[in-house]
Amino acid sequence: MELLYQYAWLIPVLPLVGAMLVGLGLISFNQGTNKLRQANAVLIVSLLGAAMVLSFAILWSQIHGHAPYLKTIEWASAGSFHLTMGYTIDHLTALMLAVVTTVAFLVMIYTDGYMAHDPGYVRFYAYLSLFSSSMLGLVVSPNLVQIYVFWELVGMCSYLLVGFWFDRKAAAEAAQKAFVTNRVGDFGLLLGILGLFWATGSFDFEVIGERLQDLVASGALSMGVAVLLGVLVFLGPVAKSAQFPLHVWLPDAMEGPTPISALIHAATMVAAGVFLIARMFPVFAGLPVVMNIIAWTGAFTAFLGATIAITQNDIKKGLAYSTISQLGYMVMAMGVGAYSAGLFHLMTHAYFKAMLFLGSGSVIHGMEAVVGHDPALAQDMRLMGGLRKYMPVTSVTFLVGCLAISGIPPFAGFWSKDEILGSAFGANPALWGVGWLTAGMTAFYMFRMYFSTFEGAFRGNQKEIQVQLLGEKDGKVVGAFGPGAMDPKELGHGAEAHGYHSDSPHESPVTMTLPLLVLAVPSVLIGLLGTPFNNYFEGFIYPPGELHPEVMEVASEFDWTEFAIMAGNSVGIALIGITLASLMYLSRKVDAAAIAVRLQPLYQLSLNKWYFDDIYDTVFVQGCRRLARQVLEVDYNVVDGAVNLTGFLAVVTGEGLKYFENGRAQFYALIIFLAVLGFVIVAA
Amino acid sequence: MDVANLASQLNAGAILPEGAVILTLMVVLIGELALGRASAARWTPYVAIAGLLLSVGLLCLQWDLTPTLSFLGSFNADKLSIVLRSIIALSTLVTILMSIRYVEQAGSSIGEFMTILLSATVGGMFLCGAEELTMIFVSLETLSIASYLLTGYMKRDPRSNEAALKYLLIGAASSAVFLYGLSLLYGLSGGETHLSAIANALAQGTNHLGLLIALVFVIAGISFKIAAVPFHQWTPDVYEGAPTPVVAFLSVGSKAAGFALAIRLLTQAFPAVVEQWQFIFTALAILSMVLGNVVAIAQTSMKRMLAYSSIGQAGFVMIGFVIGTEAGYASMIFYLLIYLFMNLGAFTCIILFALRTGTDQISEYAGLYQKDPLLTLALSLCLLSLGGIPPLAGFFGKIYLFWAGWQAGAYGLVILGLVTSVISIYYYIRVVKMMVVKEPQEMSDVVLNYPAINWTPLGMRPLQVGLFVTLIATSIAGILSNPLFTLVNNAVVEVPHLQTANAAKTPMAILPTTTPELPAPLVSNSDSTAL
Repeated sequence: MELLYQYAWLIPVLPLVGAMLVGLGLISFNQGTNKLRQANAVLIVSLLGAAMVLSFAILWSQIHGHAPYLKTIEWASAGSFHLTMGYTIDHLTALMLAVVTTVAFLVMIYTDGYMAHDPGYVRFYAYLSLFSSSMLGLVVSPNLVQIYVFWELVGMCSYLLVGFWFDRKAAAEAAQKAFVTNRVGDFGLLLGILGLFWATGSFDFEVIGERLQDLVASGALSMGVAVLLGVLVFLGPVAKSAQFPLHVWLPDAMEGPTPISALIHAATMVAAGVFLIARMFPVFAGLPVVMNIIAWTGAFTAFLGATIAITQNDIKKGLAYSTISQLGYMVMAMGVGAYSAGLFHLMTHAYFKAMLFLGSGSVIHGMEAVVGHDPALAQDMRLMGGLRKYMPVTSVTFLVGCLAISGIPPFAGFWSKDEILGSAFGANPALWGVGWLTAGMTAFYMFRMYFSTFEGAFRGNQKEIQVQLLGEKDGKVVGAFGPGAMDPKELGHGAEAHGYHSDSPHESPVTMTLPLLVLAVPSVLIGLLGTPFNNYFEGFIYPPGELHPEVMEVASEFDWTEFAIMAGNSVGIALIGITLASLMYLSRKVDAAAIAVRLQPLYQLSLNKWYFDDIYDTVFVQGCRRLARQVLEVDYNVVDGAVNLTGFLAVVTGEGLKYFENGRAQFYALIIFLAVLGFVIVAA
Repeated sequence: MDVANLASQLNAGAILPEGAVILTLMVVLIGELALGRASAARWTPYVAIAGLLLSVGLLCLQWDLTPTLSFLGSFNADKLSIVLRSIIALSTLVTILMSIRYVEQAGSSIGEFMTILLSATVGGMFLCGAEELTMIFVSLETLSIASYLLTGYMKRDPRSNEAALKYLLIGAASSAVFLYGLSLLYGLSGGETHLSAIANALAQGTNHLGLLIALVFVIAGISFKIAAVPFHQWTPDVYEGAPTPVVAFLSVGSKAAGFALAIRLLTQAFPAVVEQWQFIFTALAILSMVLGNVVAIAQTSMKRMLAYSSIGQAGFVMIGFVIGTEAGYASMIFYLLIYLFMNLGAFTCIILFALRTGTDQISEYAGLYQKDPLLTLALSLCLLSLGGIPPLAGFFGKIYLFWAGWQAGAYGLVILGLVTSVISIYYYIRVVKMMVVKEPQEMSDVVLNYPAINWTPLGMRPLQVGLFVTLIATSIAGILSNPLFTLVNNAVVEVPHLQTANAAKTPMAILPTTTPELPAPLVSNSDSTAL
């Protein structure tokens, strides 16, 4: 068993090796490597598969009570300052390893089908592998510095993958937006890490927590500073897990290929924020103000995401806002101290949201056969409908995902969401109220999505809707980016030239449907691990400060009546949401458009994403540009002048001194003797 | 008394590494005579490389032995000398890698070149451990005379001849001054030749002026070797005329030997006048940093630019020397180690460029990126490292140096060092920019007619190996600087007289409590503990 732990470093290293091999191949023998498409894919998938097997072995051994394992090497030391790097294996790591490797593995298999015709197929695998490696490195990190290193690495991979189709202007801009927004959070995180180190002298989570408590208790550090540091660290998760107010990058990041949306922007990287909060739990737990901020940020984000998701027509954007909303739940859970509930939801959400995204990818893949490769058409739900006939596997798995996320028992989402809501109620009924309302909206928009995609009649061939959608997009593109933006018609022409394959969409190949089916299993069943009356999950994952028997004691005090009330409430509102959705989008008894007209301001607020993008554009983007222009003026006139003067002086001196080198040896000797003489006189 | 007994009494095992080099030298010399010049070109360099590797290996083996004086106290094989001897042996090794093709193309005999280069190496290595006046002078002259010969090795090139003659004349003058200084020491100490004995005798002496004159004379000799301003004037002329591999050796190996001599002679023999020699070296450091870096800006030839830049670099190293703390010595040796790779890497690159195009004018490098990306990459990295751009090795070298200086309170020197290294970045980057940024139509003529890249001719492979070795070392030695730094720290800690020089100063280990503006590797906290 020890051997397994000694070689646990292989888990992040194996995908890295794959990425390196393929990446070097791409750099050195580009054409040759690109020709070996499937061979590269097989290499990378099997390396990740090996990492997955290792991860499961570790999870198994952790479940059977193996002690946590920590291995570090000294990376840099200067005097009393030591920086260690290494890896740690505990329950949380083992769980995350298993979740990340399974989702990554399935997404990689899926990619083979989805990207089959893309010229960047091999490059995509290299990036995927690099991302997996960074993500796995993140979860095994034993201290904040190493977390930060990998935190930035996953951010960089996300940037590369969002901008994978960098020749599409929207994708390139989305990548930049994601990068810049994340910079804001990462800078806060860096400041927080350095601040905590300044205060406590350590990068180790538990040591920081303990010392911070002592410092605050002894009055050496004021509570205000401690809270400030906590909030700064929390800024990292805010950006990475797309929490309000830094959530704006995630919907745009959907410009990346769908497997990326499933892996990075639904299941793993965005959950890294929640993971970091879990790791920093010993620190946050001692700062009630920070915990409150976290809880309310989460609750508000959950609500915000759900309200926006209601009106989205792009299937991926809808799922993106749903992800934001669900991440809000997890963060809220962390904030109210429901450590294991938050992580439980992280795990269930990773599986069912990955499946939903992959399902949406499968739908898009099918739609592209009909409407061509323009994302404005292929991803718009107004053109879909009735896909259940053509894509049975996708539709069934998507339905499972919808049920899971809506919190219908016994699907996975029910158990985790219910646990969060229960804990929130215990902490603050207002939080519970927000969460409960959001649960209803979640059920509504998910089934709105399901019904308009898979039920009813297929609308993909109605040219007038296509024209209308393209018109909307054109207007938007011109308005938002001005002249010089890429002409969307070019894409349309490209698609036209290829010719549409058929009038009806088709089911995706088996490499794409298989991962969907596999992911459906945990989406249905994994929630049973964390049923409140028999909570295996909480017995395995519990906050670092608490002891195992305590946790089990609390878990055993289970009250059926209370559970029935809580569960009844959340299931009830979910059913209302579903019913409403079926009335509006399945049987069409209620006209959605009429409601939208009646509630015009609210509808516009939601459709325009609460105007966050516009506000940020005016305040930050335009403001920055104005400031930059002014600074440029100063720089040009004042700073450049000073620099040029210095440079000029240096060059003139250099030219002048050059003439002391006249090449005459006797002169050199003279200088030597003069220098000796001079030194003797001065020294004496 | 039989030979074995004598050897053990003299503790001759301490000079086994030098023995290996001398043996190699003999094999090369006799082998070339016996087997003829033509075939010698093919094997002598490899024998020399093997011999040097063996020597470095033997030095490694000596690391854990307790340092003992050998040859009746003339030679000290402590860890300090082991590190410095390794630096010299390694610099010769890399020099050989880059010189094979060069000498071959110039049509001179390789065997003889190796023989002279190895003699210089032996001289330099002995100098690192010498603790006795005669020993010091003999090894210094071995190094010097071999250097003169190497400088004039291109017999048919008048510039090489001129350089050799100038070098010889100025060298002879400075040797004379140095020898005068040694003889004064001998007289003042009442006939002692061992450094520690001299120090003891001088401590009781009263002739302060005589001691100062001896000190200045000795410093003049050392400064000539390390090319400190104002004893630097031979450098540009000699560097310009001498064969480029020789310049590489002079700027690294020979300089390291000079610093070794400075550390040993000044700290051991002159504890009575610490203030004075530190003052003189401060002046030398200031002058070297300013003049070396400023004049380098105006140079148009790559070799001359590197010549002046090496004067400036020596100025940086002197910061570590004058502050007299343990951390100062450690960072100084660390910088020498890093400098070895980055400077030799740069020389390898300009040799490669000269071999392919026949010129070393900076303007001719324009647009090289389009034709030879590897050479551009290697030269850029080496130059940027010399300029101290993170995360390359040179950055960490400079950080340690300046850090040690700052701690010891030499604020003025450190600030001057920072300012002049900014100036140095200007002229290093100018070359990089010349190579990388230029548009295809701005390419210089020689680059336009750049020959196809061919690594097959005799001596090109070693050149390639040298290029990669120095490139890799320059790229990663900084990030992985911890083992190297531990090594030099150990080397310094175990030498007693380095502590006595300035015992009150704090060691490297203690860093201030709040230093947010410093780069990450050094940011620390006094109450930090292991993570």
